[in-house]
Amino acid sequence: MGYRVLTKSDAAIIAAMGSGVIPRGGRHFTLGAADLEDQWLARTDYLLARMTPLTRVGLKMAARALNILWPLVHLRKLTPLTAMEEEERTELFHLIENSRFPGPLTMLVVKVLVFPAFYGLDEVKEAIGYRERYPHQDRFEGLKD
Amino acid sequence: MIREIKDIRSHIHEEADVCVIGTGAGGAVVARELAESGLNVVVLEEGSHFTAKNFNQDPGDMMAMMYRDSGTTVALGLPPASITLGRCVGGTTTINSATCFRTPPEVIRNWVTQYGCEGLTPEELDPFFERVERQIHVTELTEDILGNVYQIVKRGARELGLEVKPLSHNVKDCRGAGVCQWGCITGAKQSTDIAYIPAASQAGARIYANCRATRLEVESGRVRGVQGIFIHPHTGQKRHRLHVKARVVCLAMGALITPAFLGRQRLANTSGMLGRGLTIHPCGRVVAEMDEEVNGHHGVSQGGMIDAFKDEGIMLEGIFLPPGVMAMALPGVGEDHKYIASRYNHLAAFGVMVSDTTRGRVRPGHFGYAFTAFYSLNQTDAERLHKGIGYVADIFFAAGAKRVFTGCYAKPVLDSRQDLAAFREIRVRPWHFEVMAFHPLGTCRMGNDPRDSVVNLNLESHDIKGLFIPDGSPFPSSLGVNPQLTIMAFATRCADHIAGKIARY
Repeated sequence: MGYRVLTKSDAAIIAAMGSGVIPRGGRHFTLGAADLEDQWLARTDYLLARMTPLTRVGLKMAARALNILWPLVHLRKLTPLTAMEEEERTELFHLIENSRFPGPLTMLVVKVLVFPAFYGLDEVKEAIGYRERYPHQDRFEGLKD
Repeated sequence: MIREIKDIRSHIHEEADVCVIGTGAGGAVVARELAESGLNVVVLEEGSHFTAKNFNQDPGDMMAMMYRDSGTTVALGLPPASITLGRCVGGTTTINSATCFRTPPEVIRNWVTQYGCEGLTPEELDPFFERVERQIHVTELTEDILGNVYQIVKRGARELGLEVKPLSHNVKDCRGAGVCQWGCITGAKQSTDIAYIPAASQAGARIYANCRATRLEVESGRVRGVQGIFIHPHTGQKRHRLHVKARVVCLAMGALITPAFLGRQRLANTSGMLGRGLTIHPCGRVVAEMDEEVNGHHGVSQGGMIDAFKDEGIMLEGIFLPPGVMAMALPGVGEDHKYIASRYNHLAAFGVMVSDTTRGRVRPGHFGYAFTAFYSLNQTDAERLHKGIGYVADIFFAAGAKRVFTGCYAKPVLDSRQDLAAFREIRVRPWHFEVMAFHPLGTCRMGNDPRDSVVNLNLESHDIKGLFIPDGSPFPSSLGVNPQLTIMAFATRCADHIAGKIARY
């Protein structure tokens, strides 16, 4: 799939982040980030495309650093996040979140890249039982530049 | 009529009495008041013009469309503080919670005694507040529109002997869609793009959207005009230029961009105070998991407030967010995260706003940024935030919460009142908090003495005749309350001054 500003490797890292924080299956809702990857990554791409170039580059660099460095720091492994199994990714994020500063800040970057895009999808809203008070907007004509 | 980049075919030269830069709480008000008083007004706005037809309730899309830097604007410091700003016609009023407060009288009195604003009185401002309140339809909402979180907090507060008051909002026929910060889909919110800009246009003001001011023209200590350029909002491609020859210029780009704009040109800073004194109202949000179904998103996002702790510099105000943004405030990954996400309809949330003693600084931006802001929360404000979070957690437990999420990394989850007692004992540090801020103020301080202030009490620069700053920059300290009404009232007062004295310029 073609993106505006995400390269294939950026997309793979962000997809790996998504699957780590929102894995498939489980008792609460079965949808995982990996199930709807193409849809929410396109939304993350749109969000990134509207940022100031340096912010975008900064976030991508942070994602790349997370991909390589954080597994090394927390799991003592050279395996990047993208090459890990879903469970292992979740374990890594759990360790990062509960580590000292700047671990929680790193998690905020992950959440910014994943959550607004993922939870805006209709399938996800339905899965968590979220319904806007006025879901149907007759007047909506589309987003604008 | 608002002309956007798609309507512009060549360079433009305008002559006007007044050029206003910015269409938020300050700029739009000045533009309308001056246009209606018969002056020739040109307005520049960097963002695009959106209407309810472009709003889809989705925070991701709306942040990308209407927020500066897709909502990722931060003040650099420890911890970094996210500051959301609108970039559209209507400015931040289009994406705020529509909450209205008059300036607390004690704040004005403090400005007089501490910041050299002798001559300013709360009574003098009353007629301007009344005028603005009529214009933007400030009203109290019924309890069903205020939402269930309001009821829950009311219940908990009553147990503790506290009073929750409904907040006033600038809305007309509000149905409580609950997406105030993502563009009001029903058009109920009377943001300046609705309450002021159309009237300004009707009174003859020429409004240019997608136009960034690049330079202020100053000659012999007097303002002469403004240069600008039309920029594509998405690609950033620069197209045609705009030149406005004007006798008066009103800079209303907000407390972060206005000082950066002036600082880049080394203007209006003989006092050395330009860009200094930034206050932002650092905020925390406390989320509670309840047994009952809350549906906190059904109703205005900011319903009520508790001002019992205002003497401690702490204001508690409602806040509710859609799942994608709410989830960012909650701890947990994997199954823990999925559990709490699946409980979204059972979550209640309330905010803590600190009247800050920390002061930050704004400098000109580089590499495509309009500004660079520095702000490191001090220990006093971190402790206030900690205390405020404790108050809200207590209220939620009194209302029957199962768990409370504090937003404090030192102890993010409280399972019981015993946990809350332990939380209160923690020695917090500023970097234990995820700090959000919504009200940047104070970077072009007003005062009577040109040696320690940037503008006078009419908001005119001490250094440059004809340059006015009718936005949040002139307020010398935190207000302790949401500032849109204060900005609008001061802008109205400023417009009256300009209209009365235009022959001087």
